[in-house]
Amino acid sequence: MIKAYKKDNFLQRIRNWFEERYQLNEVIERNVKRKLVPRGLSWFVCMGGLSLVAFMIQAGTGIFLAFYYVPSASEAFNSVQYIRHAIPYGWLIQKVHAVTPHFMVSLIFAHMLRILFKGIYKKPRELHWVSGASLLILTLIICYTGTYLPANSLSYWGVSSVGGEAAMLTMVANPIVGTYQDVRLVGTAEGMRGMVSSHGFVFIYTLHTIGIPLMMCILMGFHFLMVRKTGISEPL
Amino acid sequence: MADYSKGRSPEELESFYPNEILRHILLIFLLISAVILGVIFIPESFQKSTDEFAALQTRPPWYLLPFSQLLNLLENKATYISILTIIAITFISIPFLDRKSERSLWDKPIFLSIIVISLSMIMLLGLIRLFQ
Repeated sequence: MIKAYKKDNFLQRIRNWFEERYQLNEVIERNVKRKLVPRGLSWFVCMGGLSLVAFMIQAGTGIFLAFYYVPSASEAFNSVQYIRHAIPYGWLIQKVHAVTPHFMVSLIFAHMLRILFKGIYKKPRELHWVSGASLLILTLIICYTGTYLPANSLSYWGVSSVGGEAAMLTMVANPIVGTYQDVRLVGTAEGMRGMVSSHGFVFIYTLHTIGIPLMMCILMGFHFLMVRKTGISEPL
Repeated sequence: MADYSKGRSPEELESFYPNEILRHILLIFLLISAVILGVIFIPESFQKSTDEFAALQTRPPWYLLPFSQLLNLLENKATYISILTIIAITFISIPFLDRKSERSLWDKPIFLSIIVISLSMIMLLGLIRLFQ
């Protein structure tokens, strides 16, 4: 009894400490507890939010994978095998990271189609669409770059999982850096066909883990800020 | 922050907490369940490539199939990148291209036709690549 009282007292003191500095109660009251929304909203309205949840799953599992993954043409496959077989629950985290893009892309497609067919992009929500469409494109690019990283059949075994599409990235990188090689040209022997250079690997890895997620976070920030400002659309 | 109570009677409103939050939590759990089902049932090959696997692995994920087929058709990388860029810019600019006052797509037959044809072409490209 005394222990419980002390625990409550301790939690209350922590709560008070934060309240004194940040006045969180008022923020929660205004934005959550006293907030009213139109009655009978469609469940499909939640698809944008669910895409964010999928993104967060990807970010969480991706951070875990980044601790063990080696972005090198010769080591990538082994590092993924290590994650799958040697790390406790590594197989689960890796598989979740590999499977969630299917749901993420489906949710964003469904969200965009709903907005397109209902004309929700009309004034004053033009920039909602611009940021959302850019996020869809970035999602496709991040999924595309992610297909390369396990190196399951691409670098080692000479079979490309996305075919010559890697050429798109490497071609863009070529004039900038000059050392990246076209994925279709590296190695002429049968077993080497489709091999990606180590530079290309690091380039794709950096895009996948830093470049694109950073851009996505900025765009998502704008997107949610604008949605918060204008509110959800009026029913047709 | 948008104020939904303006111009609405109390009967037309409901509280965000707990009603809307509960709905979101329920859908998040459904998504997590779907991901776990995907983990169990969506196959992923990490085998050393044999001929059979090679045939299987050359196919990209479903959402990249149309792009893969487009590259097969075009061959030229510069044309491919240019077309993808034009498509992306057009897609992003939809609110500025559609200047009609009607909101619903069903009220704009020409725009609806363009969208339906574009979506059908994307699906067709994907299906061709899928059954190749």
